[in-house]
Amino acid sequence: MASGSGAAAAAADAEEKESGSRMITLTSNEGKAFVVTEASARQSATIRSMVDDGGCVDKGFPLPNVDSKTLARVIQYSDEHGNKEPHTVDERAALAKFDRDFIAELDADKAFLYDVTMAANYLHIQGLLALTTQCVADTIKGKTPEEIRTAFGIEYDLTAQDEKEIKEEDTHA
Amino acid sequence: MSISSPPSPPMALPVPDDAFAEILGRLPPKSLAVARCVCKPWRELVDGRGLLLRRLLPRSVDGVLFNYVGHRRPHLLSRRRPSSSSSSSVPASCGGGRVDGDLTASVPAGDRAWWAVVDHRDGLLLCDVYWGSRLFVCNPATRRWATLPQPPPEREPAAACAGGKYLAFDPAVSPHYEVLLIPALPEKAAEDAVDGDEAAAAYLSMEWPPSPYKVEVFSSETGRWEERVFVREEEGEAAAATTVEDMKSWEYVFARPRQGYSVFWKGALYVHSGGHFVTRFSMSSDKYQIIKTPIIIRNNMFVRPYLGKSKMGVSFGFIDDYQLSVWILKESAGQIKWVLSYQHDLWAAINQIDSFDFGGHQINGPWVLEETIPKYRTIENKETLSDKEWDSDNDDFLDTEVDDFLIDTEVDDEGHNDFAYFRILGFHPYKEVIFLEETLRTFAYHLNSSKIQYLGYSCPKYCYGRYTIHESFVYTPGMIGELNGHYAAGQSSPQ
Repeated sequence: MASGSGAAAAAADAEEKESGSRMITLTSNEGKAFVVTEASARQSATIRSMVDDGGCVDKGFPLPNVDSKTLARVIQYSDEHGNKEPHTVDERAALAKFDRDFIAELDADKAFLYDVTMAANYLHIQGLLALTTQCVADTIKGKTPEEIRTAFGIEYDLTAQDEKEIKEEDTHA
Repeated sequence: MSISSPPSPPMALPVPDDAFAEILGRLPPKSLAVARCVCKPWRELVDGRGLLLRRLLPRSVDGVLFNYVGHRRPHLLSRRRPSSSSSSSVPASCGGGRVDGDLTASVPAGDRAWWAVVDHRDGLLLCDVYWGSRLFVCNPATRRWATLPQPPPEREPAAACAGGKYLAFDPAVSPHYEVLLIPALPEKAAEDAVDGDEAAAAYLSMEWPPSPYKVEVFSSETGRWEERVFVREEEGEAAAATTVEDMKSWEYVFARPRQGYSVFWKGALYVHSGGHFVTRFSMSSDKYQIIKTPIIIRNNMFVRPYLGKSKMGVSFGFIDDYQLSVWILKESAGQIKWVLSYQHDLWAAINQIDSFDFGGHQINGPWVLEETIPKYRTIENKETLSDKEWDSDNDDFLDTEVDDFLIDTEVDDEGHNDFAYFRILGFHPYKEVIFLEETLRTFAYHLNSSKIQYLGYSCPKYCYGRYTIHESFVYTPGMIGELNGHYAAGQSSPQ
């Protein structure tokens, strides 16, 4: 694949000079093709194993579970982490700052955060999954059950029996 | 292919189960407990995946337990903790209350006069009172304990108590534990005493252990002792007969462990006889197997090998002439063999630890021995006084990073010490670290980097003279262990 989106292509140029790495096409469930470096794609353990198994690198990988908006955001993450390995303290700090900004933006749009979490889970991108799940966990932490229900829009569905159990557990807590 | 969404109300689980388990897995135990009370799907996920349980499993090393020769009780050398009892700082390692560092609240009141830890397994301590007159199991993290009933007298051979007492417990599998009384070697027949040498030879060549091998087992589930009969596994090398001579423990020069060390690994109890063999009791199949130790040690040597659980599994460590060797037991295709996994020359470390010359006094380290000061003891000199303050709330060393005590084995070649006597205290079960002792100074030795780290001085302050160590166990606090609901008075955990 010769053509690609701007950011991915620019990153690919830099990468190709060093390792001459391949480009890989990922297709969203809406049929939109994203061309990324192999290094970026390898952030995903799912794709990594397909590539290493001699899978259809040339034909690209269709991702029927991921929509274009989510995939673009996931690629933003894996480009940043896959295309450049941080060597210096400054580079590591820059990457940490990228992560912070990245997750802060997602945190503001919960529905999108869950989409990205699901994609990270499906694609097995460990770093991204850690980032998003930690973010959701932080939302839960320190809240009462009632506050959690409100935050997540959950209906109260516990039975009297459950409540009794909870009360009993509380006395041991 | 599609991501399955659970058939629950739309936002109850915003992401699939696996990802949601990942989210909940990042919560501290307290928040996990709260998450269980949110709604059914959350509750089912936390319970179904044992997320809270996993948090209660031991995950870190808190310290090292010591029994001292001639001392009335064991002590725990561990990370300093804030001494205020209202502290709500919860060590992540044990998922709950503070560990009872001075080992008093978790010990039955009537048993505190003279006791010892005989075995440790994932946060549970098997303890022996007055040289075997009673046994109890306790958990310093939950401050619970349970006194075991006496083994049935009609079946109890006198030797049973003189043999080894061991704990079989795997909190990942069950909250219940078992205690095994492994029979000691058979008694010499008294009539043969006339013909000394010959009788001794005949005794030593007696086949041991027998098959079937009768072992008294206490189960916390039934609350009773039962005789379990283990049959010898008849395959390969394991089939070769062993004798009393093979199984008898080495004659150490002094201060030897009173019973061989043990490991509980994948449902089997591995017991070092103290001699050249390790017996492996499979708790599920009631079979036992004899495994040769990786080295043959001559009698009267100044060495004390350690059988323990390391990150890699069942491990056997041994130091001879400053050479530390660690073997790992590998099992494949029915074959069991020891694989030499680490060899280190501790000589370089000796020069380094010499900088911790203590001239008979304790020196500060990140780990301390928590002790209650007996009321009747008067503090005799200023030095002890300052030592006492050192344990207080205003502890200057509380923030000390363990890394500050890392000793680089490559620097400084001066001030040679030409003698040091290392002993293995135990293996770190989660890291490539082995704990060592040298004249009561405790060190962590990193097997991958050869760095040695000073942890602390393990001699009790309130003691007569200088102590030596009988046994030591690496303590990993855990919250699990069915202890019959005994609570030490006034020690309910802080809210």
